[in-house]
Amino acid sequence: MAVVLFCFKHKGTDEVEGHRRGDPIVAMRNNHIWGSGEDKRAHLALHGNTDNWTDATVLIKITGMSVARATALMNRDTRAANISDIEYESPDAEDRVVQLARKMWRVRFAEMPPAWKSALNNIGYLEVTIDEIRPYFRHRRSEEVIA
Amino acid sequence: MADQTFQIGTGETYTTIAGWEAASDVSTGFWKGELKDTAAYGGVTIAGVTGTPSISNYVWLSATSGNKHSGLAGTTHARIAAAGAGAVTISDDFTRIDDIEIGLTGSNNSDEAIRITANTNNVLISRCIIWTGTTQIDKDGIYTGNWDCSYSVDNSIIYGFTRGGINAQSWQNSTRTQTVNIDYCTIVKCGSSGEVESAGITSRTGGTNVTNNINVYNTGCFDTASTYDDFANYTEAGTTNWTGTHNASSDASLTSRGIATSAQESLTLTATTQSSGSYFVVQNIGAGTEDYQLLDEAAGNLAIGNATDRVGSEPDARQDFSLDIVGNTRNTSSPSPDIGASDIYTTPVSGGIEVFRRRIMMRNVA
Repeated sequence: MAVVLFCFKHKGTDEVEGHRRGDPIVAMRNNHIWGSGEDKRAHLALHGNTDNWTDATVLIKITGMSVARATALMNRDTRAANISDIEYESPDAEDRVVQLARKMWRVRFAEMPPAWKSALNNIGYLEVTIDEIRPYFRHRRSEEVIA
Repeated sequence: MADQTFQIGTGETYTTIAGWEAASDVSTGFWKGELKDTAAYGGVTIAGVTGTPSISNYVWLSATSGNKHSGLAGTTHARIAAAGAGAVTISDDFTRIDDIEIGLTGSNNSDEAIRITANTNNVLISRCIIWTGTTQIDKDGIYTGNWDCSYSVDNSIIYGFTRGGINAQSWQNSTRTQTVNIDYCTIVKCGSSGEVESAGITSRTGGTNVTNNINVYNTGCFDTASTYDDFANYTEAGTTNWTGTHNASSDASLTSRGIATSAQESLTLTATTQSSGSYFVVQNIGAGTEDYQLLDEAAGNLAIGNATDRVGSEPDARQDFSLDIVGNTRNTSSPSPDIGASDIYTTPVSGGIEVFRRRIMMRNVA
């Protein structure tokens, strides 16, 4: 199973390459030991407080999801309908349009159950199954849920 | 694994480059991440830092002193091994990457080891090994497309890409300006048959309003695919301003670009010591075991002593041209620094020679 690092607090950039709230950032195996800059619990253990914790990221352990599957959900949406979500660059030498775009899938923290949001706010960590998180893990444009 | 971490100046640890980047904040000083073990890290998009980057506030990705490479690719030092259209994608001004091996993997066409995106300026890449062993088309070492941007690269070895080692591909007829500063680099075996922009360094200008400024000093490009230039113009319209001296090549493109004398052209890249002739002699040119650091100071190695001292003329204030790819001090006195990423020079022992005198004491034994 995978533990996925998500963007929890948008940094305010308008760059399409930058992470937005809910974007998956990176996935690692369940036994991975995260650092104090990634895991709020590790930060608390190291410093004894969360005074300097930025809430930039949270971790969600998703039972039933492999690292490969989670990584595939980090692809960028190069067919986005909203022009502001794409940075058109140019066709390449073979006249293919090369684009940078926002992440295709993201989780909707605002819609999650209160207990989940409380856990993410308090310790920055949540354990769910893939079936449980599926309704909140949706396509950026179509709102289709993950498989 | 707990030891697969890297740290920043604040003391926080991150186990992924992506996690570190997501938290990046340059509002106070620079934001430095150091790879601190020999793990192969995944790729990263450096974009959207908090704060406004500047020459003194920027994102800086490097390696701890014990995990820097020794001048050639391998598995015993910090490195990035990743696929994608930009194994490392840089979208923040003043981003700095040094002392890291960046290996491009994956089987997709049109990928690059480093992509610097639109309107990203003052990026710095120093003392890196940038390479690929993949053979799909349109692979570039450092790629910039049809947009405005600027960056500097120094003391780096780039090899194996099927299109350009460095590719300034401003191909559309838009008003675009790219400025690329290249110093003390060694670029080998890029390009392949059928790739029209094949070259060690390519400047493509696709319209009358496109200007590429390619400033290149003390850099050697060798063994680009046949029929293509080591230093290449691919001009449909527009202008490329080539500026530079003291470069070297295995073809005759240096004088065509006006960036060196003919004496440094048509050198043969070899890994065998030469006593005379026109050679660029490196450690190893075997596929899979490449080591493009200089081999020795034999008479035929025309990389030796044929560069110009650029200390004090660094295009980016963060650069230090007194050091080579592994941090050794370059010979900046006599005869001259060496062309390419590495420099063969033994730093003199400080303090000179200490002379001991034996005092013979005579005494009267009578």
